[in-house]
Amino acid sequence: MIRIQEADFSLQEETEALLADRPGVGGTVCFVGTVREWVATSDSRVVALELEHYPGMTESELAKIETAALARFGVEALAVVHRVGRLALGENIVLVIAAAAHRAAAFDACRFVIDHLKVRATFWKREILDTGESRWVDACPGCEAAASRWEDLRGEGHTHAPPSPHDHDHDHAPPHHPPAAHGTIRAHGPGKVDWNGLRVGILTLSDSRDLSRDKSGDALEGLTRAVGGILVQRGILPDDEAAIRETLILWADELRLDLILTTGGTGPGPRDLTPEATRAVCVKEMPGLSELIRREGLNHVRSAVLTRGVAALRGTTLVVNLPGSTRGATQSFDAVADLIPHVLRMVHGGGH
Amino acid sequence: MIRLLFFARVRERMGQGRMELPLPPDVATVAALLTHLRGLGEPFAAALAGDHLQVAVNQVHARAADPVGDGDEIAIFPPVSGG
Repeated sequence: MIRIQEADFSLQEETEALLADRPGVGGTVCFVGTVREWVATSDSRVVALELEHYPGMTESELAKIETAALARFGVEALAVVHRVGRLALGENIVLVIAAAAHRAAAFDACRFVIDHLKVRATFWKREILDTGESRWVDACPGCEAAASRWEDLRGEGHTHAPPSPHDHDHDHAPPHHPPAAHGTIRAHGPGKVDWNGLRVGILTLSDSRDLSRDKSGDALEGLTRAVGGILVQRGILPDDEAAIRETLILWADELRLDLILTTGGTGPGPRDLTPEATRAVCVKEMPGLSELIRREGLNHVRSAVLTRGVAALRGTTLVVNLPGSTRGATQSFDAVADLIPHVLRMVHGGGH
Repeated sequence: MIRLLFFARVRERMGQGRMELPLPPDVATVAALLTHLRGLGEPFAAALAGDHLQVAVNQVHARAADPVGDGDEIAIFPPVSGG
């Protein structure tokens, strides 16, 4: 929900409206920006702001930010209200509300939206001074850095870049698919899937990526947080079997993770060695999970059956290999997310 | 023709928020358009001085090398400062 208006807003009313009929929401984070007192020069003070905007573009930029945040963090609902016109000291300027099943996604999405609003939404502020003069506010010095932390949207006319040529992981990424659904939970509502504090590691296997360009890892991180998992480790390795084995052992035996999701290295190529490394360090395979992943992939693209990923247990740590494409990884995640707490309960001796 | 929109400080220095102009045939990019406009004398030269301007083509943030064409809506403005 996006609104630009001269009138003030009520945090209470906006929050209640956003949360109506959303029983799956368990956490809501609000950001309110207000006009603060500010000594402009040694002999003048700011008494008000005047805000103008670019009607049409402002709404479309905010919609892009909202779409990206919904997809990336798996939140249930977002609201952005931004005021324009003359605003006196202490008055509200902007409201961002993010509502999600769990707090982590709500916090992240709220901050993501305000960080990007500051550098992309076409608003301009003018400070009105007590001397009667006024002056335009320069771009905020730290804002570009704050937004670029998210490695998304930056300098792009669209919300998500299409897969780069370096995104070599083959399996299920027909490039003509609209990318906007990345990171959402499709197969099961977030209300049904609850990882309730499972400790998770996400390991990306790729010869060509680094963590700043790891879209499938980013998507899995968002999904993990959205279902209430705790991201303990995130890593990226080249497709090197020995290094993958060592990392899996370290994360399972030393860090005692409940779940390790790998993405990439599952195809038939000569450097695709993730399943081999996983088998080498695990004892019990869980073939049903990987069968489910391939069956889900087959609903979207026939080449999904070429992914050789396995799921297996090392001690009490479950390792699940997912494809390297963002779409393949998120579809696979959705295919098995609801079963993972069940597996881990049984691993620890619990019944069905 | 192209439709030019100006916002904030640029609008004030231009003395108006919008205007229409013919697009010369040899102007094909955002950078070339800015150079062309600055060459039209005042108020363009003063309003578009400096290198901190941002441009949107048809309501999408644009970069210097992005194309411009006849019929486009082109907005020129200082860095945004909302929030």
